[in-house]
Amino acid sequence: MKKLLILGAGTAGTMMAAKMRRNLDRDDWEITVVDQDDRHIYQPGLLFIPFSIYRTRDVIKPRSRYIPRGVDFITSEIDVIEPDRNRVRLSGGVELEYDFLVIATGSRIVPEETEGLTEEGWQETAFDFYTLDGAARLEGALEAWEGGRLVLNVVEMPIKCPIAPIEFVCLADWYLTEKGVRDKTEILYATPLEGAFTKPRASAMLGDILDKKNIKVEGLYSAGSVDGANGVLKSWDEREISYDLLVTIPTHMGSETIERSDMGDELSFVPTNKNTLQADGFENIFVLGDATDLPSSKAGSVAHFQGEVLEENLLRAIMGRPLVNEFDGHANCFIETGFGKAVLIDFNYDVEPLPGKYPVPGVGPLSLLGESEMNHWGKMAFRWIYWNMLLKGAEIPGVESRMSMAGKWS
Amino acid sequence: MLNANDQGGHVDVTAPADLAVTLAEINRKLDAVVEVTEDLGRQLESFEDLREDLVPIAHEGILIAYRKLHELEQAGVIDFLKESAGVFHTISTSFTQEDVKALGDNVVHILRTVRSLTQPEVLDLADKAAGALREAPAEPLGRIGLLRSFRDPEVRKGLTMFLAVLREMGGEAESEESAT
Repeated sequence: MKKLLILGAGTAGTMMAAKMRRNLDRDDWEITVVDQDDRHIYQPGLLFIPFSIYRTRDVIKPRSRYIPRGVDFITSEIDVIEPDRNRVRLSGGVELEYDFLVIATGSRIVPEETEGLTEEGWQETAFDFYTLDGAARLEGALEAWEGGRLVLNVVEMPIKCPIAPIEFVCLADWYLTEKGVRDKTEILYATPLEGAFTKPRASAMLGDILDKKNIKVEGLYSAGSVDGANGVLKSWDEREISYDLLVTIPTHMGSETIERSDMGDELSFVPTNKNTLQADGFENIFVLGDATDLPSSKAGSVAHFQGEVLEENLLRAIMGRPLVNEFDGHANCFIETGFGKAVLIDFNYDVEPLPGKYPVPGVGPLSLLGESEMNHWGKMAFRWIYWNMLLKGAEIPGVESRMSMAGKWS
Repeated sequence: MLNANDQGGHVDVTAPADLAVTLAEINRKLDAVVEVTEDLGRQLESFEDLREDLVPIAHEGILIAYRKLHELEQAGVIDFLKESAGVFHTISTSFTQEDVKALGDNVVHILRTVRSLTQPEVLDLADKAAGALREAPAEPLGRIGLLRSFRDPEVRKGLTMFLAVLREMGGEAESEESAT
């Protein structure tokens, strides 16, 4: 019996388990998935919790419910990967051997990396919303908010879902307007990027939206430390920003397992071939989703597009055939801009977000790089697609892994 | 194998070896029932999730549709569309199915004609012709006046164009006759 081992039962790992169980004969292949707990969080939903749009229970389901029949699911901490022995050790001492390994261990926030951030004021005047607990606590702070200076800071790139900070400040603008305290609130977005986003055309478009909402952008701002007692954020180049409420997107790193296994870069992301998704230096190890060091966005849509390429390449590797260089960095993301509207962007390694219609050229119904109510509805309907199609490894009609120029106006 | 006594509802197990096989069979079937039940549960949950996500979206969509209809009504667009319906009715009752088919067959020809007729020089000519009609003397020209007009270069140019049109129309009529 041959063994496929998948580390991580998040978006990427769960999806791959479903795809590979369909492809590999049950009599010949044993598939095992390992994760530290049985709680799957719909991460795109965390953004909505601080604004009371979703409740915490709206974004949680058991991981085991999405592990397909015929796949073993082990709940355990993963201690270390031993690639030279084709073996993984779990924290309880259990050893798992594999013929092929898929690393889908994701990424995590490490607020401790920023001096002073987790000290005085942490979870009182400084919050994250990339964890369930952080998002829930921030909801309480926003409920009690009566005005002042709200600062959103991205400590450093890369981060999960690079458009989430923009969505947060736009939703804050909407939420505080509804609450009647927007005129008493200054919203500031401090980012290490030059502008609102990584890609120039989208950055200009999103910058205009923020400008119209009177949200100030402090660009090229690399946060070095936080003085929680006085409510001051300090950058490495000694620019100080005072705040009444700090919403931070802390430093992101790969899994501690990768760090312990000495398989990662300085942020513990696994060096990966950007087109085949094979781990650098290991023929029988592939990497998927946030765990990679790729320049593509760390987002669910990217994991989905990567999944289709990895399915093909795993089967090719099993059969000893050459891999396909098919992954093009394709990502698409809905960007909530508040007041029931959203922007959709679709891009890859080489093509920045362009205006147009998606997925049907000329028709849509979704608008690329333009605000619309339809885009907002698409974002809200995505939760169902996530649980019922994406995680089950099903194809989403009209959405391809390779980015298409159809419907885009260059 | 199990032999159920239909009348008494008893189960008659004929031999111990059969019992193991039977229990395995029951176990396999129970597993299948559990799988089906789980699948049904998941499908129900999926429907419930869909309802939960779609209801707020539909609610928002309906409110936006109401607002847009109100705006259209205020701008008079809805009244215009109501009146237009009467126009469409008149058009549709004035033409037969064959007329519509002929229209479809000749639509390219019609569009070419419209394009020709809407060229700037043609529109300019039509404008000048309309002006000339408005400014034409009320009294008809006499014989001498007509002969004098033939010496006017603009009249001669106009007549040349008029004759060219007449020649084209004559040629078209001739080809239709030979075709029939």
